[in-house]
Amino acid sequence: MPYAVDLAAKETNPELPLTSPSGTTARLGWLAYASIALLLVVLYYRVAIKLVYDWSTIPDYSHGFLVPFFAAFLIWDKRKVLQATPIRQSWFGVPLVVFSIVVLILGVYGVELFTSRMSFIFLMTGLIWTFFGWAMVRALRFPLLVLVLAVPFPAILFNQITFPLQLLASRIASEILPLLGVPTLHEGNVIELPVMKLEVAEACSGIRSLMSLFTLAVFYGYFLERTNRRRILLALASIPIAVAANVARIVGTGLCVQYWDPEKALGFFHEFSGWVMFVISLACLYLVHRAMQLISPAKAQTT
Amino acid sequence: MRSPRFWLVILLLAVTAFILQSRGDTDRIPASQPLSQMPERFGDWSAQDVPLTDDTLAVLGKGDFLNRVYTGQPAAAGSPMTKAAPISLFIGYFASQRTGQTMHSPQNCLPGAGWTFDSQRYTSFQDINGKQYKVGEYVISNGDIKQFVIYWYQAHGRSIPNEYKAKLYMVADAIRTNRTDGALVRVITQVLPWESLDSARDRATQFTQQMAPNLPRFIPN
Repeated sequence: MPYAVDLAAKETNPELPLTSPSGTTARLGWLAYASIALLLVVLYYRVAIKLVYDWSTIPDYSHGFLVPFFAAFLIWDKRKVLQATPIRQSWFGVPLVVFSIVVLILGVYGVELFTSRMSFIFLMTGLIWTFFGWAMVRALRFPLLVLVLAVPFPAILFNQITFPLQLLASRIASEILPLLGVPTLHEGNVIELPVMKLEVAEACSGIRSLMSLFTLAVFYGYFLERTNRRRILLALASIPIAVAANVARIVGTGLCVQYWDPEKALGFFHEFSGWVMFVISLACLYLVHRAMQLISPAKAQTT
Repeated sequence: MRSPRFWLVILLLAVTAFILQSRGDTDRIPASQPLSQMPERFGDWSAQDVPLTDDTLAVLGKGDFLNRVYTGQPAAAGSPMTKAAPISLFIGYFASQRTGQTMHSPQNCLPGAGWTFDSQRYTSFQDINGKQYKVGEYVISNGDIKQFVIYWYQAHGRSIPNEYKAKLYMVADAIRTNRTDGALVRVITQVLPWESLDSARDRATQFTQQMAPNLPRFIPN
């Protein structure tokens, strides 16, 4: 049961905010936390198993494994602030807890994976609000938001964003290839090279790696930038980068087909959707970041 | 442990756990026949299967698929002009969409294959048994080629042209009846250069009217 570990990681991770502040009188005893944690496991184990299964089987969501660790790191990184945050139990969190529970029940009964998964983040927020107060929710807002990155977005909506981007990438690539001596004919996302067609089966999907790239950009921005404005800029840069990486993928394959070996080119094309894409995207992210620093150098100690 | 908030939260979570446990995590999947048993003949139309490639099947996901071209007989001896364009029928049936499986929307797949939507409208027709179907009618084109498309989502005896509405009904039906089965039915015929749009529409509609009464066998009500 390889998921058990990750499941445990996922379930214990949100516990961190509950246990980290110590020595305050408003705290509940450990038994109280343990019973809440136990109930959370009972409520969410099915949702969590399915989520971890999706991370491991859908390549576009393999970044999901990193997200809980990143969130845990963020919390650990903020431990001093969290310890200094006054704990004030509040009734205001209870409506949010009720709301999350309703969302969870509807999600499970309605077989809507996105809502049942999101309810976990709502519920964590609600519980923190109830037992530690609004100030703690504010202090933990970034790690809580980061968890959203691990939740696969509903395809029906996500395609509205990613599909036009994929069309754009296909169009750009089919403009570039003839300049490099590769004649192409493109119809939507299907690109016809002299000897083969590309993307036939994938014609209906958008840029599937967008979510991974966005997550990567968030991590990158967090570690290498100081201000939120720049971090948001970097995160948004993931959208043009995703398009550029896809253009590179199609052009690269086209060149291989023309000047090398069609058979190997196809292997390359598929490989390209994996780690090569990742490296190219990371390189693009780095270049964008450098460009940002050149255009407006970060001023020290200002926000 | 004295905190009333704590006990309230514990109570809420425990009740929720009970509510969730009382519901299994499997769908009710009604029996249905495989789509391959769709009649190969409707009036003058006779079928030829178009096998889907493994790549395509992998993208489509876990379901039962029918991809056929129905060709009109060199009908009503004489007039060569009556030789009509063939009709392509695609049905994708998913017995369970619990795993997050969603149907591919022609709104993406057709543009992805190079087609642009020229016009679209929601309409309805009655099949030969008088059953009402709500469908979407579209005209798509790619260069000089024009096609007339009818498609809709069929689930639990309900026909819905809009994909978002179909999704909402799926959620509602899952809550009410614990079923997540559903299908996409798509009929395409080319608008031949020498015929009017109406004649292509008539062809597609007449074919669909004859074919539709078979659907409940494959897509249970």
